[in-house]
Amino acid sequence: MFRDGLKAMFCRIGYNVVAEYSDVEALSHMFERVQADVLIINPELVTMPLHELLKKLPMDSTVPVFALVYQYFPPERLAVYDAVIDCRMSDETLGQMLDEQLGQTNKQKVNTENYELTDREKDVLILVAKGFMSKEIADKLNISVHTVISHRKNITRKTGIKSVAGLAVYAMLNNLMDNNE
Amino acid sequence: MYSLNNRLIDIISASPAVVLLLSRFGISLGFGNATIDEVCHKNNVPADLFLMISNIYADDHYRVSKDTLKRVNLEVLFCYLRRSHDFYINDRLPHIQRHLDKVAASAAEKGDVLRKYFQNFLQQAARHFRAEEQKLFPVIEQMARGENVDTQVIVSFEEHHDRLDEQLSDLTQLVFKYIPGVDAEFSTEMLFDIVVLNHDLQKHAIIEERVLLPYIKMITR
Repeated sequence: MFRDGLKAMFCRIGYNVVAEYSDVEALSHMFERVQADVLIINPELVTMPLHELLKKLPMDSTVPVFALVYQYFPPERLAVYDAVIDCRMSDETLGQMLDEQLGQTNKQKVNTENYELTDREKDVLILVAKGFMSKEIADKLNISVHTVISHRKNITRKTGIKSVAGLAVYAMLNNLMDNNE
Repeated sequence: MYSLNNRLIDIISASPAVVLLLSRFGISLGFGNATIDEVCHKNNVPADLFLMISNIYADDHYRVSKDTLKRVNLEVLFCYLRRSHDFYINDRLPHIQRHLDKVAASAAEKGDVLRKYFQNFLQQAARHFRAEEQKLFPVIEQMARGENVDTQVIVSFEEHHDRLDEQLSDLTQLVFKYIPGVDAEFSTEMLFDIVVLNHDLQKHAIIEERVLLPYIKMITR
């Protein structure tokens, strides 16, 4: 019952539940197949110390672990979790908490990333800057619209620039195209 | 979320951006400990509308209820939006342009590219606001009076509601990341002004997206 409620709540605030499991055995198999941003555990069902349980899971140690509580729990037992979700929390509070917790881990990941544009991304950037739509760019480069959109997302993530006009200036400043084009 | 019984000073202390609303609604300073309801009555401002916009400025998660939407005073809302546009076009953007001129002057030939970018942005912003005032607002007023109108204006407003704030924040990215040798003092001043204006523009867009568009849907039903 709580799981369904929580799932609906996650959905409302824009997060996806990638998998649910009711026992630890099944959970460890799950981590071999899906990449989760957060693991939520009902501490009542954890019979061994949390760090021992986590050691058994083939999971990235940066994934935060949250406790889901709907009754009183001794604070010292909850202290080992990265955060606590109370079943009475509102959508907003839960959303804020997730953004805070997950925002941090995402940032850490981004910092190790390469911000140089690839040659293909430069091709797409120049056409975007010249004012072509994604569909036209796809035809010109002989790739799918989907691929163009994913290039555009990467260009924006790497340069920090969202608008077409801004990308045109970026292209000029980096000598990817002429002032007069 | 604030209510009519909150003191105006409490909202402003918690969310200083709400102070921008006062001159747009014609509310003068020196309101003492008056509640929102009292201040609005004294200044002849629809309290519901002032409260709704204050809540939009104070709380990113605030959702406009159907009840609030039904009570929206269109005439006052449009007046508010027009005054916001005036403030952006005649006050804030020229102010940022003065900062940008200094930044551009210290950036040699790359400065020209920036100047041109901002010039284009100014034209676009002016066009955007003018289209809303001269085409969109009158059509909504006609619809509210129950007259038959060409809904094409509204469809194109929904589709082309471009985000002016994106282009402004792109300007800060370009200056900070891609133009070496710019005087830090000038660019910092410009950045602070852009950040404040962008927050204001985002809230302005939210008013149009969460109030104006749902309002149109409500009256066409």
